[in-house]
Amino acid sequence: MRTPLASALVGATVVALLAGLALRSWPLVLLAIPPVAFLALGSLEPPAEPRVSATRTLSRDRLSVGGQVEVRLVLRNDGAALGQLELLDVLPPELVLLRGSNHLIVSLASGETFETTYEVRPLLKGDYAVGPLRVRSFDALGLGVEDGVVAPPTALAVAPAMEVLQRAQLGPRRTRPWFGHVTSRHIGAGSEFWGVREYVPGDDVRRINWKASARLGRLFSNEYQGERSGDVIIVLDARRESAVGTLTDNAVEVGVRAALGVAEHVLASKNRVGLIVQRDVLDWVPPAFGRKQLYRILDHLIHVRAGGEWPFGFVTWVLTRFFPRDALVVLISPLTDRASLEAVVGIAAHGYDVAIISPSPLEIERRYLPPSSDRDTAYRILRMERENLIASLRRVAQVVDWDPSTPLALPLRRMRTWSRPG
Amino acid sequence: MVSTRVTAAALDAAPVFLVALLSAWTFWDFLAIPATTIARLFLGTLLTGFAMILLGLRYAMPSVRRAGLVLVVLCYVGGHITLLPLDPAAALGFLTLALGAVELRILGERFAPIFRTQLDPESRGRVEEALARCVLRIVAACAMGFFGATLTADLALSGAVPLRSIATALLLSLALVAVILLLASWPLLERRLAMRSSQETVIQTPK
Repeated sequence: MRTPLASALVGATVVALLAGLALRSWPLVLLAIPPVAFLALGSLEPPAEPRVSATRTLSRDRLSVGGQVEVRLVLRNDGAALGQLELLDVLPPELVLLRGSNHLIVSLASGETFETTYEVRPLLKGDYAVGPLRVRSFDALGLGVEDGVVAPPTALAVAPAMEVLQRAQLGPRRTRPWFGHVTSRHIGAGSEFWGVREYVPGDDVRRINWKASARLGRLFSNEYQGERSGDVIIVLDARRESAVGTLTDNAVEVGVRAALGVAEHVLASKNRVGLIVQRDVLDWVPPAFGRKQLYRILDHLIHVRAGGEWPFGFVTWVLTRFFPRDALVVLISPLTDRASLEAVVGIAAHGYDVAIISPSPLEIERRYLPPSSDRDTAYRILRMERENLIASLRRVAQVVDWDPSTPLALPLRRMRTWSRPG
Repeated sequence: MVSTRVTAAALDAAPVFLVALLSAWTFWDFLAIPATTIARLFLGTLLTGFAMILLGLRYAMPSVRRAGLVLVVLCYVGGHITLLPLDPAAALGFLTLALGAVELRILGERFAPIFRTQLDPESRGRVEEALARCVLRIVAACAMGFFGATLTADLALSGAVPLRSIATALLLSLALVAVILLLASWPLLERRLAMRSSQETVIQTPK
């Protein structure tokens, strides 16, 4: 395939010849010779069609944000010798090159094998494709090129980072009829003392209350509160309004980290967890137990990108129709508008326990702006507005105002119990 | 071993240096022209071309940059045809440098980004080898263009090849037709190369 330079050189040759002949100026005719020399030298070795086979290997195909992946490319020239072969292994912009290069120019003799490696780091969660590998054979004077695509893309899944929530006070208040770790208001197998009753044959000997038995002259057994499990529904606000910050550090990305941490913590406590994500589509995962449920939630969270203009009230509609009523709803939202307040009131009005984890958009924005007296004043005004909103919300829900630069476990640990507000 | 960053900087700077040299050369030649309307027209066109080159470099507008270079070359040739004597050797040198600047720009766009990354020693060696091959070809083409044309001019001036003759005109026309045929048969040459390499592959049966 000829390049525009080749056409330009032909044009220059023709113009010089015709001008020279028209003006009867032999020096002008002479000026046609340099472009012809370039064309002649370029045509002596036209670029061969690249017939290259390649394999791409990733050191791992699943990792978390901030991890590193080594990409290894092995190429073999199955065709004619390639004097100048340009290789480009296409990378999405979210993958940053750490070491080596995905773009090279090499020469490959016929049958020669070449190997190269490079390292990348993902900045953002998501499903990515490394590749395809594009090759271009060109001649030294840039007069001709031959393109090809050699290796198809290789999939790479990048999971979000997770907030570690050990010893956090977060769990449902109301329980379901399954065994778990939450103290229920029913007698059963548990560790919280409930009361004493007369001994019945078959009671565990270790449950006999010897003090009461000695005082009253007959055997009495202790009773305990049953430990059961409950439901937690995580609602993640990923609307366009919530994407305050940069591409890699914004309230939605921080919310995804928190959602994953909450899901892991709740499932580890033997409770059920479900997920609703409000973004350009309204997406949900029904509640379930176990490790598989964590992976289901992770797969949904990987694809979360801020967007959409759906009213936040639609979340209440989905909650009331597809999720159990006695669940704890954990809303993760930066609370950037009044719609969040109305949605929370609506959810609480339907009988749900509501807890809000709110990554502060003010703290996120403040990190990226240079300090000035005007910005400090604006920050104080916005801070007061936010505190007013949170105070209104505390009448119907537990609220954690979270600075994302600190671990989420700290403010959650300070909350002793999730008792019903008001 | 030269640092890769120095190589990348040199690849970026070389075409800019050549274009600045060509513009300064043209401007220097135009200083000898008395201030007439047509001279001012040429000077204005030269300054416009130079400004377009600067704009194209500053704001990454390749088409503006190329148009600016074409204007500078046309100013030189046009000025020397109409107002100044056209020295063939100087004109050939000017045009060869202009073609060299274009080739170096293409080379820089291909190789400079690669040299800015962290290459391992083997890859770096291969890239430098490919760059050296390209630079050698460009130098050979420039030498062929300049000295081939100069030799032709010498032959014409010495009378070895009579300029104003039907034979010379026929020879020039044949040369033009040969170049056009060569360009037209380029795809056929490529197909033959590919067929030959596939036949070689068939002959080399695996063990």
